[in-house]
Amino acid sequence: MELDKIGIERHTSKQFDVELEDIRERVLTMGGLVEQQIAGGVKALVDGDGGLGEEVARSDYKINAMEVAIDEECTKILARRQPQAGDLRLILAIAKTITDLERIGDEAEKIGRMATQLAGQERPTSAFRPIEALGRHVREMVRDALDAFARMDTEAALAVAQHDTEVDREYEGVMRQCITFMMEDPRTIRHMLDVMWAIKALERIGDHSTNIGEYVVYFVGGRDVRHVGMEELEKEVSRGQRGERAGG
Amino acid sequence: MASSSADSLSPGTAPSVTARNTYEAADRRQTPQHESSPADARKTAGVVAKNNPCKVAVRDLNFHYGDFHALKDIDVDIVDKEVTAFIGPSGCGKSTLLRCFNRIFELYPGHKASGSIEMDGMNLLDPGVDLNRLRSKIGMVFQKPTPFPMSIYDNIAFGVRLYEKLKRHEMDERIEWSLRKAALWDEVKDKLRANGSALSGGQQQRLCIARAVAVKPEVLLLDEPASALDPVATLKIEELVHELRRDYTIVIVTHNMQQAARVAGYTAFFHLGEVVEYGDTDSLFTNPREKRTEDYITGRYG
Repeated sequence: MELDKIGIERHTSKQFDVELEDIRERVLTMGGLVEQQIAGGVKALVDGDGGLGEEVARSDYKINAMEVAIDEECTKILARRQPQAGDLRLILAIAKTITDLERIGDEAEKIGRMATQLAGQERPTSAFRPIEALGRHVREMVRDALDAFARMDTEAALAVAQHDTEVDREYEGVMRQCITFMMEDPRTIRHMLDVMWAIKALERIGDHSTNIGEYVVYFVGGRDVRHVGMEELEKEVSRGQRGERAGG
Repeated sequence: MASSSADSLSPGTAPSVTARNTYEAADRRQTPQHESSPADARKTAGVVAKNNPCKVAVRDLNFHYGDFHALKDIDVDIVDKEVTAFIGPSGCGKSTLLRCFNRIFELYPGHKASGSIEMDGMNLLDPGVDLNRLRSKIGMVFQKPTPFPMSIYDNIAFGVRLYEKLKRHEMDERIEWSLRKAALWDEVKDKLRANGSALSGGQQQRLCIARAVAVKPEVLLLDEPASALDPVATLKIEELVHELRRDYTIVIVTHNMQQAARVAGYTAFFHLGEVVEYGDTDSLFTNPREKRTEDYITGRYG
């Protein structure tokens, strides 16, 4: 039912249905792993758990391997099936989505490494509480983006982009706080710079999630909404909701 | 000759289409906020920006094979000096429409077309139209290569002699010219007296195209011109179509959708005797407006 709704089923070639469903499932599996990595990285950072941080940093290879495998599958489908229209847009959206997922994985790895570095040092605990909140929000964004992808739901995709605006604001707040810490006690600067790297990584994850949402909008309506601004994105999504494809 | 035809048929008009949601596309074009966005400009660019005059205008065309209503109220504009592809499942009416353009359907009893097909301000379906002249202006190539049982030279000269009185050397020039147009000259220049049926399938088909081109038509109708050929010969024919596009208005019927996507500037999708969707090929194959088009081109038919 769900599959039929996003429209990748019902090919005369049942094998093609199977291939598309398989590749789509693999993207979602990859997304699940990426979510886990973010959760681990943030937890390691907040709890000062060096071991966990190291494990996160070490596990990134799994995500990289998945990206390569899915990419190869996309290439095969392009070569063998010559997908058209919605099928073509699906394959393109998947190829781009996994690139962003892989980047999110890299950011999580970075956070893991920072967590390990920071674990041994003395730390002002109050600095980490806002990071925990930011991490939670960013993880929600990733989950919502994957959810939008799974259901090819443009409204959910739009919500991710809107969420990103909030996360950006939150990011600036946390940054300001870090600066305050550094001004109060210059001995923390070295430490705080590492923390700021990790925060920056979280903010980037939000951007990548927004990108994934944009691919969903592209798949559904065929319109490329990268770099068009929030207002245009909202318009495109509401246009798509109004004018569902004729005969659909 | 071409310019006079453009004058009589409202030059500069984009192809008009019966498909319902063309209007949606038109609306979108008029909405100012969308015009400002580069993505939307790109989407409608094909139909609007090419802005070629219309060569053949089909209006309210209905076609009956006896009791069977094969084409229903067709409105299609064929763009001048462009390749237009007709795609659709068997029995959808695409070949029928093609056969209306040069009225070759009249060879069979019980086949009846009503409505109008206008070219150069003249309704081609008008009983007063001189069929010989019509068919010299609108040439046709069939699915199976159909060389006449005579030499390569005479295969081409045969048609030319029907319409023109040429001197010997003029005829020689015309033969070479048309064989070059059909990308066959280099392969046959040393055996012009050999029998046409001795050529390979792909060469025979190119000979047929040379024959069609030799009488200098304005429109070329290609009915599945490559379906009986191997991939290399197919690509040669496609390359040829691409070349000929500069001088002729070409309409090609094909079952091979990739072929339509490769060679055509505009594509019309037919289903059950109607034009479901007609637009520039890029949009039709990446983002069709109609669900039925999408289902067909992605292999979800039936």
